[in-house]
Amino acid sequence: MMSHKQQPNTSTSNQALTSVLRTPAEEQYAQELEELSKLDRQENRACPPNWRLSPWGVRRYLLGEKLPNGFTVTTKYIGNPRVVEGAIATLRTDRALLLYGVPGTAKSFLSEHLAAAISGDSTLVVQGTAGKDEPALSYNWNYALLLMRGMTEEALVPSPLMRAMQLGTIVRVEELTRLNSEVQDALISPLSEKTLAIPELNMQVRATMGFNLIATANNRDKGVNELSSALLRRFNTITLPLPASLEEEVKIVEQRVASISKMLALPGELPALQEIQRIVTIFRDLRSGVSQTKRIKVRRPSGTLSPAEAISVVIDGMSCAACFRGAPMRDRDCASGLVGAVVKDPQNDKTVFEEYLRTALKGQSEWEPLYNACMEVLQ
Amino acid sequence: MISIFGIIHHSPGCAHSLLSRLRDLKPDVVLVEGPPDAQHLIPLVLHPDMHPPVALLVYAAQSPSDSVYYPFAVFSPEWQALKYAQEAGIQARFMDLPQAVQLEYLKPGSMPQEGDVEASVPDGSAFDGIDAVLRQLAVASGFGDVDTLWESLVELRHDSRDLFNAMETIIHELRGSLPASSQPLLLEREAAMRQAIRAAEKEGFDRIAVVCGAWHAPALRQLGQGQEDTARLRSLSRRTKVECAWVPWTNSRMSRRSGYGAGVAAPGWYEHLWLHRGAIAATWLAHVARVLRGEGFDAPPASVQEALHLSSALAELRDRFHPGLTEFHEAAQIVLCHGESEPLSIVRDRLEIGERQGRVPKAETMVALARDLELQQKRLRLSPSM
Repeated sequence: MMSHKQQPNTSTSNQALTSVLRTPAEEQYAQELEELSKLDRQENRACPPNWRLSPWGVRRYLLGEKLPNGFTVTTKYIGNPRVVEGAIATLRTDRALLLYGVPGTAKSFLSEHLAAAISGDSTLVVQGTAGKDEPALSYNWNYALLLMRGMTEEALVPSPLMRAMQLGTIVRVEELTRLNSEVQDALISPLSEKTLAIPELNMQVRATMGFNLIATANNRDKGVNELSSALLRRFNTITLPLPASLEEEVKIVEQRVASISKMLALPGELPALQEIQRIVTIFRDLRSGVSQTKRIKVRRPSGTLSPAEAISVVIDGMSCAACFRGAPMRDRDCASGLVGAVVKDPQNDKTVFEEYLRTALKGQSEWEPLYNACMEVLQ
Repeated sequence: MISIFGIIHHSPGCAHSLLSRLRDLKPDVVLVEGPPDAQHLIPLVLHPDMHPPVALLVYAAQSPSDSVYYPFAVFSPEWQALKYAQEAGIQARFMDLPQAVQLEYLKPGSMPQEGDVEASVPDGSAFDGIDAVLRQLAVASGFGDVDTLWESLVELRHDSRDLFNAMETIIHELRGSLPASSQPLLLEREAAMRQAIRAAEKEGFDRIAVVCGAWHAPALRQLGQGQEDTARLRSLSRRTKVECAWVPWTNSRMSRRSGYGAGVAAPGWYEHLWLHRGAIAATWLAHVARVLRGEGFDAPPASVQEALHLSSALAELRDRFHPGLTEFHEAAQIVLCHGESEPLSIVRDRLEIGERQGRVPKAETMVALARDLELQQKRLRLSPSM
């Protein structure tokens, strides 16, 4: 059951599915969730109060598995399964979960899928921005009603957090550290007391079973507000690692590219594995400061060069090929996206990248088209 | 009556089961897999200045660098068996092939390494293929790796009455399915152990307890008449003159990380299992929190409790009946260290490996040193100082 009916304010359900650019995970993977729920019942795996799936079902959903009845659940999170298990176990113990890490390590992705699998609803989200004030986390007022009827429950506009407490579902706070510190601290009481006070009405919202919060924060951004230690203590923190190996990262990029290009209806075949491998190799070399093919040290550019950026470089290349040169994508279609991803600081990064191209890639036949195309863009 | 207990070396779970079985059995002699050369050193186990981890050092008198160590921790089943026998006032005997023989054969070419003679089951490296088979067993039974398999089935077990039977069944199957081992002297060692059992029987002992590595247990059951064993052992040379001594040992040298073949992954954790049976989880996490507080983390008691909950939830998710070291490690990282992994390397060194340093009675160490000094002085034609 989707909970949109209960949320007239945020409803998108009257739009035809086909016209929506991006559907939430619980709709996109509705069948998988249904099959997993069936399996839970067959295996007598108990769901914690208000959970749609058992913890084992949630793990299967995220890590992917071929079910006994032949149905295949796709892999959502590629990487160390212990990360996923730690996240599920945390939510099982009713502690809030903080997913921490450099940009592009699947924090929001994991958060959305966890909410979809556990609560069947990943749409209760607060996006952390510098402009948000405390009501974004607690509640606001419908001022027309307020003026007409005074302070009544009717005039109250609940925040996603408050709704999640009432419904017993998961609320997500994206980019928690971009919120101002005073605003962040509004979370302390819902997390520790599991209540939200509304002094104007002399009442209190008490969280129902199943309520929990998943926050994401990245540790690379400038202009972030560090969490107070009081708030940090209320979170279980999981640091999401960068992909451990080239194979793992290629798999991540390949899978995400396939699903995004399907969503965007990009024409033509998917790029060949080698093309993706080359992009990911460049990303990993520059990130680690060591060229894997030549076994030499290289200088690192200023950007983070996350898997997410590698995905967008490939998508960009595919779209470029589709529009101007015809699919399938070739190395040269990625060049401008690649240069854009690496060169964040036009002075330093440009020299760093040129140097890398010359020392690590030049003169190898399989790298030649990409090398030439990148040099062309850089000139 | 002969009771054979096939143990895993340095396993607190086995030590515990063994001790309770010995108490029930009340044997009149205990035979332990160990060097008979050091038989005279067994009574020192109860010496008030003897604190494990310690090791029995057996070395060739003429070239002390040809040596073998037998490390014992407080949680080693062999140590507990020796201690039990001493306390109960019954005989304890080492029953392995003497090192006087083994050193002779292991010497050529390579230096004998620590743990060479420790034919340990969880280690497995001493046997061709057993490593791989145990790993398959671990994967097939859903534990992932061998350490987790033993931890779950042996170390964290509450009810351990059938432990030895169950382990022997596994080993029996494995011995049958693996090609004959190429481990040097394996057959000779097992023959010697069988001879020791026969000798004890002949001397009229009634209830004989045999403590050996689980791998040997099935082989020691088939006693037979012994002519074959006598023949096998007759031809062995015993020319090497050996000396023995107790030496202090450390937790870090008990660990596999130090290169000790039969070592355990986390001696400090095993020691904890031995000392705090019944209250493993809470006390372990409290120790972890104390170490982390020293490193500047808050780690308040409330968080320790949350870590405890998380470790249980992780164990549940992994279908374990009790959280193990992996779960505690992860829970500490997620709850107490705010996701960072570096602080846990301190926990690893200080707690999981542990910093315990053993002690032996002073006179013991002096004996070995004095003998070496005497030897060196003789060689260099200096006048003896002692």
